[in-house]
Amino acid sequence: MIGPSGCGKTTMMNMLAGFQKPTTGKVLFDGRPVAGPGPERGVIFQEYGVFPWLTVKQNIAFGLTLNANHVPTAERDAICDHYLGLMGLSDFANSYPKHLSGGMRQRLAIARAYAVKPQFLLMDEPFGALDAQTRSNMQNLLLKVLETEGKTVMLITHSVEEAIYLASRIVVVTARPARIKEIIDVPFAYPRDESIQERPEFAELRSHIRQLVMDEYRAQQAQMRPVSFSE
Amino acid sequence: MNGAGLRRLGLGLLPWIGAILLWYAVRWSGFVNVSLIPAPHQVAAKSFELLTKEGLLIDIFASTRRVFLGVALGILVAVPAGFLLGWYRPARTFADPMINFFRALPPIALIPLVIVYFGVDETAKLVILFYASFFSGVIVMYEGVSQITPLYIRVAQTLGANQAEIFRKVIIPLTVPHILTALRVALGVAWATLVASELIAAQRGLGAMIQNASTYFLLDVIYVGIICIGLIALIMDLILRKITARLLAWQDRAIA
Ligand SMILES: Nc1ncnc2c1ncn2[C@@H]1O[C@H](COP(=O)(O)OP(=O)(O)O)[C@@H](O)[C@H]1O
Ligand SMILES: [Mg+2]
Repeated sequence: MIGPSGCGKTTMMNMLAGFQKPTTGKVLFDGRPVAGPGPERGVIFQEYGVFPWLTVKQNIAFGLTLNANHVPTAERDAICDHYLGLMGLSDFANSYPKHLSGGMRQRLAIARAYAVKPQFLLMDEPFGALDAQTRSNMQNLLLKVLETEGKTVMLITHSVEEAIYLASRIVVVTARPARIKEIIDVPFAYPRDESIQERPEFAELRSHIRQLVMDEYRAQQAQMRPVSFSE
Repeated sequence: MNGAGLRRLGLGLLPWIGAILLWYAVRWSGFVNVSLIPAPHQVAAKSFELLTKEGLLIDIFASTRRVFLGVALGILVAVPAGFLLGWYRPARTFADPMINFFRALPPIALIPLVIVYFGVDETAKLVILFYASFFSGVIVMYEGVSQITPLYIRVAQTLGANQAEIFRKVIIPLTVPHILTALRVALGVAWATLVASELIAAQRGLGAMIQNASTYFLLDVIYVGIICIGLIALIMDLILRKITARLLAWQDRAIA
C-alpha cells in the first residue's frame, strides 16, 4: 500500500489489526468481521515494540506461551530456535534487546510475529528507519521468509522501488480520505532478486506509480493550503 | 579481591577519609570553639561505649524496625494506589491535587495531631513514617505508571494475549522498576522523618537518643546518632541498588 503521508494508511492498518473500528463499512477476515486484535493477524509496528525486559529468545517465545495459541511446551524451544536461525539472531538468543541494533530489533519483531503463525501479517513502513544497506538486507530476508513460510503480507511503504520489489499487488491510495486509486499487478515471478530492478518493466512500472503518487501528493498539499489567504 | 575491585574500594573510601581529615582540620583551625566539635576519635570512643554499656544496638534495632515497618506499610498501599492513579487518567485528575496537598505537608507539622488521634505509642510513630513513605512512594509510582507506553500492550494483543496475560506478562514487568524506585525514595524519606517520629515520647531509637542527648548537650552522642542513621540508610540503599541491578539488568541504565 502506497500513498501520500497523512492520508490514512496507518489508520487503515489499525482497522485491519482491530485497534480501531471503521465508522462505516466492515473489515472482514476470511469472511468474518474483525472484532479486535488477534494472533491470526500479526502486526509489525513502525517502532518495533520488542519487549525490553525479555531476552531475544523470550521475546520470540512470548506469543507461544499465551493461552490463545495452544503451543505445547515441548514445541516452543524448536520454534524459537527455527526463527532465531532464520533471522540470524542465534548468537544473541540470551541477550536483552538493549544490545541489538535497529535492524536486529526489526528482525526480532518479525520473528516474534511469525512464531505464532499468523495467516496474515501487517507491516507499517517497517524499513523506513533503517539505513540503505540494512533496508536492502531486510527486504531480501522478508522475500526469503515469505517464500519458505507462504504467508500473506500487507506492507505500507513510501518507497516505490520497495513496493515493486516486494509486492505481487500494489494498492495506490489517494490523498485523504484515502480511496483506492489503482491496483497494480506486479509482473515479476518469485523468487525475486535485485536483478529485476535492472529490467525495463521495472523502470516503466516505477515511473507510472511515481506519477500516481506525485499527483496525490500535490492533491494532499492543496488540501493543506490555508483557505483564508485573501483576507 | 582483584585490582579493579581494590581500586573501586579505594575510590569509595577516599571521600570518607577526606571528610574525617576536614573534621580534624576544622577543629584545629581555631575558628570554632573546640568544645562544640568532638573529635572523630572521641566520637568513635563514645560509640564503642554506647555499644557496650548503653545498648546502642537496641536503639539501632528500634529505629530500623520502625523505618522498615513504616516503609513496608506505606509502599504496600502506595503501589496499588499509585498504579490505579497512573493507569486511569480520570482518577489522576481527580486525586492529583489531593496528593500534592498532603505530600507538601511536612510530617513534623502533623505530630501534634497524630498524638491527639493515635496517642504516644509505637502506633503514632508508625503513622508518621507510613505517611511519609506513602506520599513519596505514590507519586513515584503514578508518574512512572502513567508513562508506560501503550505500544507493548498493543503488541501483546496482536500476539493473542488476553487481559490477564497482558497484566501478568506486560504490565507487571513494566511496573517493577517504578516499585523499586518508589521503595528507594520512600526509604530515604523515612530515615529523614525518623527523628521527627521519635520526638513522640520514644524511649529507644536513634532519634530518641539524639533528642535526649540534646537535652543534656551531649554533642558526642548526637554525632554518634547522626552517623548511625546515615550509615544504616546508606547500607539499605546499597542493598536495594544491588537488588535493582539484578532485577533490572534489561534496562538501558541499570545501576550497578
Ligand atoms: N478517512 C479518514 N477520515 C478522517 N480522518 C482520517 C481518515 N484517514 C486518516 N485520518 C486522520 O488523518 C491522520 C493521519 O492518518 P494516518 O493513518 O496516520 O496517515 P498515514 O499513516 O497515511 O501517514 C490521522 O489523525 C487520522 O486520524
Ligand atoms: Mg503512518
